[in-house]
Amino acid sequence: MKFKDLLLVDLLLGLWTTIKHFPRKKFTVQYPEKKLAVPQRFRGMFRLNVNTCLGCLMCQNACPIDIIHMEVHDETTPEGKKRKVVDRFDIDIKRCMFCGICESVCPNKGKMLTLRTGSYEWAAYERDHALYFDRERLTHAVDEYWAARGGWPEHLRPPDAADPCACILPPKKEDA
Amino acid sequence: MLDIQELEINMGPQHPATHGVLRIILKLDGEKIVGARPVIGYLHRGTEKIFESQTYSGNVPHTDRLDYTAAATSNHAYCGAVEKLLGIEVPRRARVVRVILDELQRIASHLIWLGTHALDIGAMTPFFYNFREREYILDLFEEFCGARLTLHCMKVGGVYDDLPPGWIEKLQRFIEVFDKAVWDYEDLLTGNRIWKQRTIGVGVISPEEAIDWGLTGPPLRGSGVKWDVRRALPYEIYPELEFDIPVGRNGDTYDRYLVRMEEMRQSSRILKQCIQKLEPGDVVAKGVRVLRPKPAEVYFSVEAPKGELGYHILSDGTDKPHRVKVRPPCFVNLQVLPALVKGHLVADVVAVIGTLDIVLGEIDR
Amino acid sequence: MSPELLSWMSPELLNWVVIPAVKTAVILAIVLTIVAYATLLERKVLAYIQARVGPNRAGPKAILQPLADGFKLMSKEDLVPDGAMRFLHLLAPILIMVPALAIFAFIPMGDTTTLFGLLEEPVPIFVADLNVAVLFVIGFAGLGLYGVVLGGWASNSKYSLLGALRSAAQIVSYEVPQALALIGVLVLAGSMSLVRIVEAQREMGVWFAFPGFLAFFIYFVCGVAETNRNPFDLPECESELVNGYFTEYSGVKFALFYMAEYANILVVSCLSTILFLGGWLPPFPSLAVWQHLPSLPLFWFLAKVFVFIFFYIWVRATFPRYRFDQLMGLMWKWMLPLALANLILLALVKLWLLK
Repeated sequence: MKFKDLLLVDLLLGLWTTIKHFPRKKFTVQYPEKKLAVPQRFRGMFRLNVNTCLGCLMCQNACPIDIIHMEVHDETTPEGKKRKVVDRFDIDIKRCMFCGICESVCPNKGKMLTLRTGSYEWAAYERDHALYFDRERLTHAVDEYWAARGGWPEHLRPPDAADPCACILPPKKEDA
Repeated sequence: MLDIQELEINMGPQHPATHGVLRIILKLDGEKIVGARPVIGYLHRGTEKIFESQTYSGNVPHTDRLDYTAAATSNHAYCGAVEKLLGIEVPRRARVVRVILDELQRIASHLIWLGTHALDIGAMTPFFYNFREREYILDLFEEFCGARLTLHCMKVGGVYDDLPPGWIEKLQRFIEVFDKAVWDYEDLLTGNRIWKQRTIGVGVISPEEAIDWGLTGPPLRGSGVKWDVRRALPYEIYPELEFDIPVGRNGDTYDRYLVRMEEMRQSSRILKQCIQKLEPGDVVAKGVRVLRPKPAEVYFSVEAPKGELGYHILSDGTDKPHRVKVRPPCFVNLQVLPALVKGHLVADVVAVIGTLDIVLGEIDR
Repeated sequence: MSPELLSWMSPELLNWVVIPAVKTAVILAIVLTIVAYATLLERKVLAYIQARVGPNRAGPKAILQPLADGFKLMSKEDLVPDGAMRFLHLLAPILIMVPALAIFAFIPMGDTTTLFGLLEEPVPIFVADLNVAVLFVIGFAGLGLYGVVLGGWASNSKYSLLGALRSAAQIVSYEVPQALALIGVLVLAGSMSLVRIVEAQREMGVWFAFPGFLAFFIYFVCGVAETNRNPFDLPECESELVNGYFTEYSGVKFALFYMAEYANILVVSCLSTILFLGGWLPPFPSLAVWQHLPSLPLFWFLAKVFVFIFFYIWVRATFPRYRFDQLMGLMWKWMLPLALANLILLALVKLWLLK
């Protein structure tokens, strides 16, 4: 037992450390009022542009948990080019782990299927709204999300983004 | 004569101090522990079986979910094993970035350990300070790869992406903040007489026993065995880096605490050196799109924050592994728990669980 | 209030029934309000120390938070575990709350008041000035243990039982040095009445915390143990025994346990204030300066009490928890000899210095 121990120096040091933090700036962010800006690479909700999709099925094959379901059919454009049209593009969002592999294997990287949308407030009142995203919702949901929040942030805006979403989906096979 | 019975108490799977869903069946004589039996498997997700049904590159996100407090090292061990299997040469820049990510992850993981360990022993404030500093690390990860916890920050042949502009400056700022913040934790705990009373002489394990049990990481080094995969089986750029391997003397909870505290400082030292070693270049090896290794068998391990994390992969010539065996440090370290707590009191069980730094995601897989 | 209004009552009825009843009601209201806001204070102070903001949603600056907590707990289902002894399970929270509140009958928050001139004769701000108040307080504080032990026993849960056992082990350790520390004060004051103890400090011109600093320290440490708070919160320590003796309680019963903890903090803070910090007296009461200033008994009293409560919270935020065998060792091996030494020291002080 040293003299220092009798003076409770160690305990007083601890007390000093805690009280030092008492007047300091607080670290908490008051969430609904204040929102943190997400970095550009943040993996948020999917955004799909079916018109530029090549229909190569790379993402479907690469998905580690097989939650991307695609169906495509061949079509000849008026210019005589052959292209694939995506009839079905469903993502089972409830199982998605947002690993970003689908995005990284996409040959049309960042233009067609992207996770870099910076959106994370996807809580829904309807159960079905957060479970399964089909072609239409994948196309429109993120645009609507940002439109409701006053437009895309500049560092996240994709080149084809429209604030009131205007993307027209190509007709499906059975529609044609 | 009174009929004296031992009190059998179920600690967990829902218990505030078992770090997840660990269940320990304690046999008590009063408050003294006469027997302890850990029961695991409440978080079993069949990850090793899932590995067999996915492609080599598709498995990487699954490794995040083993040790979810240290996803980067988990990624690293798996990717390193696949690269060894395929003979891929990882570009220089990717190696440096990997070491940066590993060491950041080590600090983050040790911060969680320190916070929860201190909370178990009753000091609630370090928890919040630690999570504050950890938040900076998560922000760095988020900026680098877009995720905070389950990172998927490495892929076979390199890392997720190149460092974003301005990232290194933020890293340097974090190192500055962190080097100061460590002293706050030290002031709160290291010299504190209550902390010392609660940890010194609790859960003692001798170096021979530690080796016999197969312990790795801080529990082994706390007993004084200087064994660290970064030095023993060097990988990436660790041979070029200067850092010390802290070891303890008595092999008790306090020594393991000191070892981890020193490891955090060493990690920060490594980070500073890595920043100097960063050169422009590729971050992914070229031509690793489809991974189809020849039938072979490899084992590759890294020094995860919790100990040696190894992946043993058996390939059969297809694009999916035939079998992946994970050697998780927590699983091996947990088995020593009954020996460590025997004869101690109930209060020491939580101290010992904390000092082993287990993560159930990795134990149950 | 004019005397005519009360003239229909006989003086006996007025002095022995009505005035004490009104005072009891007022003091209970004050105490329960302070207890409710002590929970908010604790959460806020803890949060500020831990770089957080703390509760800030219920009303401006969270001033409605205690109400919200109360409503929440009252609307919860009252669960009684299977195999529990229902009567004892119900009795335990009452047994812990009643003594904690009863002690306030003897705690003088000031000498006398005229309620800003509303009353013609000054009325003392306490229900009873008992000549053995210190003994009573120690006795009632000890009664609270029954609530803890019964709660642990009646819950039919192993964690609760361990908590109750620890509590019993704890109380036999801390009560002895605590009582010995109080004896030191009694030696200095020469009386067991709490009012007399404060008056003695006025006459002596110095708070007892200065000559009796050792006793003060011991009483503080034992007070932390008495209120089951960190670093001595062994009977309820969350990381080991889930919630100790009140693991199996919910709803109003849980609220009673929870409030009793804060009521006990208030008791210990009030007692420390009275015994060591001069109660409602200003600092250095013999200074001439105080003659010219209005005496604000309630202000000084509450200020000291809140400083104490703040210190409790601060200590809770800082230290790790003792193991229960270490607590017993600390109390028996360190605090008891210290308390005895302090007793001799104070006796000598009384004998030679403060004649």
